[in-house]
Amino acid sequence: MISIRIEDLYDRYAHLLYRRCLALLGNPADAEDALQEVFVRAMRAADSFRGESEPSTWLYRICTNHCLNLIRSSRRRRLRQERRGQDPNLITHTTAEQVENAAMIRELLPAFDRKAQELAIYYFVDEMNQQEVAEAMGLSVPTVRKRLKKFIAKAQKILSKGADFDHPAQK
Amino acid sequence: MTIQLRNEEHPSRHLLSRLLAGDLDDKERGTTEKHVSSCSECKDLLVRIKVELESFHTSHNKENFLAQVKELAESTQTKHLAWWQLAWRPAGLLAAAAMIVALMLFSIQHLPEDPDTRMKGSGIELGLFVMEGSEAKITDPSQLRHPGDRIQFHLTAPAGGYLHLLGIDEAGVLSVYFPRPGAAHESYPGGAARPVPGSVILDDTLGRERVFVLICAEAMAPDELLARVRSLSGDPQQLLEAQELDLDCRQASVLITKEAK
Repeated sequence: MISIRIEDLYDRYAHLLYRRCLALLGNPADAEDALQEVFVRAMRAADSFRGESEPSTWLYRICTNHCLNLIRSSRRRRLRQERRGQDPNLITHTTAEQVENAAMIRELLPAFDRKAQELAIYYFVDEMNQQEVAEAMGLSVPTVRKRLKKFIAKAQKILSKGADFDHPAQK
Repeated sequence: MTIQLRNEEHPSRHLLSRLLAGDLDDKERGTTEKHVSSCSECKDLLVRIKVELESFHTSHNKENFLAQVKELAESTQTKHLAWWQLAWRPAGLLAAAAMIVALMLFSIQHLPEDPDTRMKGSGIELGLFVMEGSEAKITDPSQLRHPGDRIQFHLTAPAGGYLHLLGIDEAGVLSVYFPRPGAAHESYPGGAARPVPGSVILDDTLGRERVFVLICAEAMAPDELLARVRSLSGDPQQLLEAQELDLDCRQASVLITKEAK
């Protein structure tokens, strides 16, 4: 059994996980809650971690699953976001383009299956390259590329229809 | 609109973040630093990430955060109620009676088709009851559940054996629901739509949980079962996705998804 120090996980990955939670959930308060929940789950599962995957991969997967489950309750979440609004002070280092892209991905994700959602989060939210995505998901690079192209094609179709996509700047 | 493939001639943002967090080995760090030293675009990005990283650590108190995490991790343990704990209470008796009636009605029906439900072996079907007050309601296993729900499984198995019930959630936590530690583990007779001993109150870990029912030729104690299952994969998440376990038992599994109320 591999020993994992929760303090080390925090030092190395907390800011990355927070950035991902913020991008996926859309507001700092929910991102804080999600980050805490990810670490709680990691701590509870630490005994069963055997080191056959990287701690980062393991932690990212917990985070992905948790955030996707939260996004699934998107209607309730959207109402809360509208009440709270975005807090610009806490995301000042994120560019407008990143905020826009994150909102776009957040809205697109429910139209895809779980594997495609995971892929999109690694590539578009975490901004991994295709090799890193392949390693994180246990896929080959050509498979990742093929699935990304498929994701993009479907995403563009959805966006071109102008479905009920909520652009943050329009609110 | 920037939902498109990126040019990958530069290190990824993710890699640069890991560089700053000290998460790269010597070789990766050397290669990345060499590129950054001669690339103004990557230097700029590295500065932005550094500011973001410092901002995160300034606005987050690590000690407080970890103290809260430890407290929560220790306080949110799964609570189980065994069927015999349920049955001695008057409400529990009513629930048990309601369940038997429901089972009789249900035994002439087929379980709904569910892509997340996996049955291995001949004729094993796994279904789910949700206890609502004194009522036991048959429910589609794929229907969303909530923390605090009391559930019980029912099983149709053409042949008996030693029954084992365990779940793995998205935190990677494995829980043995049956047999209970120290309790008698008698052979399960098989048959149509029998309740699996032991009801479970769902804990507050949201997300998916895969529950496996194993009917084996030999009985395994909870510790032994956990050790056997853990030996199958070092990554608990793989078990969650596995649908079936590489154990010499007839088995079925069902995926439950928990959502906040």
